[in-house]
Amino acid sequence: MTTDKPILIVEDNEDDVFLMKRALKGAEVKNTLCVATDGQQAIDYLSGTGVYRDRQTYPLPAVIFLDLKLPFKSGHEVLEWIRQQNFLKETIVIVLTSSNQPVDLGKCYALGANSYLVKPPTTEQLLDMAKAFKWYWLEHNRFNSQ
Amino acid sequence: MDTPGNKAKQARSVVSQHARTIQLTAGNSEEELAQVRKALEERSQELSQQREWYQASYDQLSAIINNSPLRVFLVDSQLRIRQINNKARLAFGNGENLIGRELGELMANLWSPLVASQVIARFRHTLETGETFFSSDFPGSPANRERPEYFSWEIRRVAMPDGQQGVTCYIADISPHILAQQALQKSENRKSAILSASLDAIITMNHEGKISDFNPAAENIFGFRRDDILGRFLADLIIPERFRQQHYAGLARYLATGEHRVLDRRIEMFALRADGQEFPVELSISRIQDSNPPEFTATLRDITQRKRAERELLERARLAALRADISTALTKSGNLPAVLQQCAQALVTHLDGAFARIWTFNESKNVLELQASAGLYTHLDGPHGRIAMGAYKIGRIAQHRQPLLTNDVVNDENISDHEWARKEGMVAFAGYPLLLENQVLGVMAMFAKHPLTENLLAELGSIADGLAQWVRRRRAEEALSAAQQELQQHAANLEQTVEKRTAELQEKIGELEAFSYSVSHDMRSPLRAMQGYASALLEDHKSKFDDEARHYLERIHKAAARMDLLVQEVLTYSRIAKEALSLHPVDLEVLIADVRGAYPALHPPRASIKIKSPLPKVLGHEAFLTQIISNLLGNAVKFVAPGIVPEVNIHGEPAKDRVRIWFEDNGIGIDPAHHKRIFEIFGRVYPDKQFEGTGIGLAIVKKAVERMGGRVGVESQLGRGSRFWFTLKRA
Repeated sequence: MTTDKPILIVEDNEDDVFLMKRALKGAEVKNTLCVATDGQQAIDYLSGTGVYRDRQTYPLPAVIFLDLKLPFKSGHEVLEWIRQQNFLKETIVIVLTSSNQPVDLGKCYALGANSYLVKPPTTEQLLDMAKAFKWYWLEHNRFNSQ
Repeated sequence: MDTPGNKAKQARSVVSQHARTIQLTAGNSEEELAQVRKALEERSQELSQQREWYQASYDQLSAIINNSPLRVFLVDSQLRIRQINNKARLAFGNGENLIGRELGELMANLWSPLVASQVIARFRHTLETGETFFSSDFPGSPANRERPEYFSWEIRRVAMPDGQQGVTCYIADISPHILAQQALQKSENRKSAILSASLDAIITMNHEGKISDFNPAAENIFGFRRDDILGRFLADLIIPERFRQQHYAGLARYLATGEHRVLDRRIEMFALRADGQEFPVELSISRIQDSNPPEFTATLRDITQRKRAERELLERARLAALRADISTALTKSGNLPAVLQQCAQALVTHLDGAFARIWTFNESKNVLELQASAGLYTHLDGPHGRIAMGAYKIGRIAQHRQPLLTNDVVNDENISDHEWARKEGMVAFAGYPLLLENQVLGVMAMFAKHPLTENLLAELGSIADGLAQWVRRRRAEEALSAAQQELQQHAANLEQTVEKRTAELQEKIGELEAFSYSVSHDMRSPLRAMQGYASALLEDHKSKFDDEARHYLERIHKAAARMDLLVQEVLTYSRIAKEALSLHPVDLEVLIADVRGAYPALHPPRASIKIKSPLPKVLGHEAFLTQIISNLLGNAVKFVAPGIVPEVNIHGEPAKDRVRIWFEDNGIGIDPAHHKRIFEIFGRVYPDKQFEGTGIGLAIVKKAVERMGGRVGVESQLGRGSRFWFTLKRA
């Protein structure tokens, strides 16, 4: 279980951010939740640009929830960038999007996403998803401690 | 017979007697005696010679008379036969001794008494009067009745040696002569009859050129009387003036050289009647055989009728040829001016027209347009190219719808340019309106340098009718063709338009689909928020709300959830409608197992889903089939009466080249009235209060099945469960 590293949520819709945070909270995920509201901000955060240089305040996340529909840079672009960074190669990236288009799905996996989740409509389902996420990714999945 | 011979003999014997006497009486003077004897001998010799000569002459004469073809005999004054030759002897019955017999008696033996007495009377008359009698009607001997005999006889009074009068009779057989005469007469009669009866004129002309015979037919044909015309110059009467010189020259040449050009062959010429009228004749002239100086005979026929018939036949033939040419022209397909040109050309060719023209009427401009011109003038431009209705003779023909016909162009008031007509030698004009059902379609007109006959004009009239019909038909065809072309053009345009519109529509549909997709998709986000916040309120701030407030929040939550479900189904439907299809063999049992496994509501004890294995393999699209199965099972499990455990039996059966899969449930059933509607989008039967649902589920099933090439349906009654089926291609 990794609780020291934050979970980065890249999501521009603040409702979705609220719901996601609430669900993760309801699932008792202890990790810090960081939010980037657009693709560029996500990249800045991950690359440690500008204010995000401060790794104390802004540590690199263990898991990134990545929405695809983002302003400035799309989720795909961000994903592509992430996987191009050596230091982010092993970071878990879970695409969390409202799109169930096979093309998006295919592209994400091609670009190296670890998982693809479709935002469920109800809070109950979101809570279940958060619980399952915690159970699988945070409790059972092994991270390379390198 | 008392012939000279006999007489000489007598004389001799007398002399001999005398000589003896002298001898006896004289005595002794022997010299004298010798002299006398010598003289006597000489004399006697002379006499002998003479006697011989006479005898010879007598014999010769006798022979001549005896052998004469004439019957000759001599009677004395008592009418007794004194001399008679062989022929006469034969005629009188060849009796042995006829000399001395009485003529009367001989005649009575052979001829009737009347005839005999008539003949005897003649003899007596001549004997008495000395009149020589000649006649050519001496009766033939009765013995020879088979062959008619004709004799001429002549009786003369002669002096007999004994001094008496006698009568010689000469009878000549003139039968051949008479028979020849008779034959000639018969021949003449026959010739007369032939000439009389002949319908052809038979005219005979002598070497001077004068008429020597003129039969009744000639009288009829020429109007001359035979008596008036005989002996007059043929050429001056019945040969037209311009040929007379030729006639006389020819006759002269023939008489001089025997050369002829006109004899013994059929000639056609013109002849002159008594009233001065010329008419065509057919004749043949021959020289009469053995005629010298030459005489000529001609038979001649008035061929006015025949010529007329020939002309008519020729005309008819030309008209037939014209008709044929025009028919050919009208059945060919060429453009209108070309066909009309052929017709105009046919008129000129076959009717010997000077020139022919055809106009068509342009209704919109009210003007006649020249389409064809053949003959003298072939140009289409020029003053006659366009003629206003009613203008000039052509325009008037069209306006009055009446033909204009004249065989006296130079003087006709309707023809405007008489000078031109006179100069060109125009004689006739025929102009016809091309009429069909009293509508003027054009005008056909022709000028000719010879008069136009009735037949010809009739034919032109009928040609005008034919042309009118053809023009109408051609116009109709052209209009039809133009209309067809327009139609084709329209059709092409329409197709283009349709293609364009379809493309536009498809684009719009695409846009709409994309729009509806993205809208639906985008709706999910606010719905999530609505639902999420309502839940959050309900869960995190429960204590702050009273029951009513909580109820409202629940309603909001539910509404949002429902809307999201709807959106999902809409998205599913549109996905099914749009997604690229690929058919593969599918194992339905596996899919059903997957779906069942994915939804807890389908597990026992909440539901019982049974498959009758093995289900036939089908050709289908996996994603679609998953959706179908999911929806059908979902419905089966949902639409049950309260308290009942839903049961679904799934089985398949072959249906020709397809497979039918059955989903039988024990649900509430569907009234047959609704069987069609339930497969329509939003075709809900039950109110939402009773059974939650969007109403798109079955529409999705139908769309998916149909896209895979199958069909879907239901058998159901209210309260009796439902049996849903769909067909797919067999794998």
